[in-house]
Amino acid sequence: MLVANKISREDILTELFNIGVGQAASTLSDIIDKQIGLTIPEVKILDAAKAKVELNKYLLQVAEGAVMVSSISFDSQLEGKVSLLFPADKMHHFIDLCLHETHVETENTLEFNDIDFDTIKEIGNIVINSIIGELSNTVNIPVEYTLPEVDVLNNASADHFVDSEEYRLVLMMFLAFDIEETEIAGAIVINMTLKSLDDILNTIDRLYNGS
Amino acid sequence: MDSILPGVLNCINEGLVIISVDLEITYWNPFMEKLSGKKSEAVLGQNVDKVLPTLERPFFHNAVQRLINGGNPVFFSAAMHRNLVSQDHRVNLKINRVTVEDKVSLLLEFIDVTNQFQRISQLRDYVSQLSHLNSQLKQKEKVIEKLAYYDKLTGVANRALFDKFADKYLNIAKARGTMLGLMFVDVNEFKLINDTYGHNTGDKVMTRVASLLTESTRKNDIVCRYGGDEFLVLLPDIRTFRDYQAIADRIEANKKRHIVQDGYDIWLSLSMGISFFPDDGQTIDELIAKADEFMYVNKHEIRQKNL
Repeated sequence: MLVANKISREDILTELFNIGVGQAASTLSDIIDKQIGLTIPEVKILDAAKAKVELNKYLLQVAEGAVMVSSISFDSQLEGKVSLLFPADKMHHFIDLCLHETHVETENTLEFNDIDFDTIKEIGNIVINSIIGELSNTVNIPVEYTLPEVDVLNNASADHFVDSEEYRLVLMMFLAFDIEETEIAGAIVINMTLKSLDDILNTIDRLYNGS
Repeated sequence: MDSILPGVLNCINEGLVIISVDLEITYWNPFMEKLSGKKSEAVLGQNVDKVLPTLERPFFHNAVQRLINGGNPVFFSAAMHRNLVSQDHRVNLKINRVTVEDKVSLLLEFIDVTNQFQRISQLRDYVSQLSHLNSQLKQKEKVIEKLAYYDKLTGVANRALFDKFADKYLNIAKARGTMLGLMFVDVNEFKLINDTYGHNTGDKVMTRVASLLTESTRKNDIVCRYGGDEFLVLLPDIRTFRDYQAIADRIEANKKRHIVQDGYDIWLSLSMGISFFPDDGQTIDELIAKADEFMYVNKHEIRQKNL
């Protein structure tokens, strides 16, 4: 059931999530009064092992092992955990752009203060809300969660974000965050229980393919 | 239990506001009065986005709508939203949906983080001051190094720097089996220049000789003022006598027999001697002695030629 129509399901999810992040971009543009672009080129449905390989590539090539991560766990009818990852070394510049500020002396450090964490917490809340909200609305399954936890991880590996024991299936997507011609390459990892993802995909099939 | 809840909310050191789904304020606690400077009696029954005008924006209205529909909490940071309640306080805002007997209300928590902003601003000032001090220290280190290792008059290496590089280059030559050249240069009749044109002009002539040697040698060669009118030039990685000859030819080409300094037409002449490791000595002192010896031979030849 999960393998059949896999491509079309991924395409549908890509379109759904792009609608969501489009709204997130519009909200963020309104808040910080700057033009913001947010796009998700492709959503992949992977088993835990493949997701770890994909994610490790990102961590090695883009984030060089240090990431700033906003994550929330959700339960109720859908169970899982979503993590939004950004390369930590780009975050001071990114935060400064969002806050209309310049701090040359801290630009290259991996030290973050409470203000930085709160800024990322808000951005994470908006982006994650948009993605999970769109998904929840489309399949008409309620999702409950709290505000994101924000953390900085040095030497992060995919094992931090993909729990093969509990979830087994992963929705993975890369996020291009564009602000004032600076592009930040983020990644979103959604761990879900098999049943949760099955529920979503079956509902999508019913809605879009009539099966 | 219900009867003590209003009392509890009044004690909490966090701005608490409860609004209806139509944004009408139904509760405004004392701490919120302190944060906003607005009394409860004055705001109850009014719309929150009219009382706090920074919330009269699409992002707030959309967030409230999503929260009413979906129930998941919303967070607005003090950094991204300045002057949320007043110009004097920086606050984070958390909004949660509260449902009691099918009636939906929204709880707004305004968390005062003004102290955090002040502390971080202080720390940034300290970092900036330290960074400024650090760059000043680095500049002073450069000046001290210049004073310790470079000749004050001509700007070329002094003997301390020469000794440092001489040992290094000699060890490299020994390890690699290459030659090390050491040139001894003396300004002929410098005492006469000083006596005739004055010490001030003499000093400038000495500086021009230093520039001439620096311009004629390679990037890694070390030009050193050895004494009053004497210079040493270390020539590492010399493979054949031709390598040396190319440098000597450049010095010869750059050396103007007559130079104009301070309006005087001055005759400039240099005597030069060169020694090589390993043929002429195994230590720097032996190489200097040998180059000095050859320099005197050259000086004698020049004198003979001019007689």
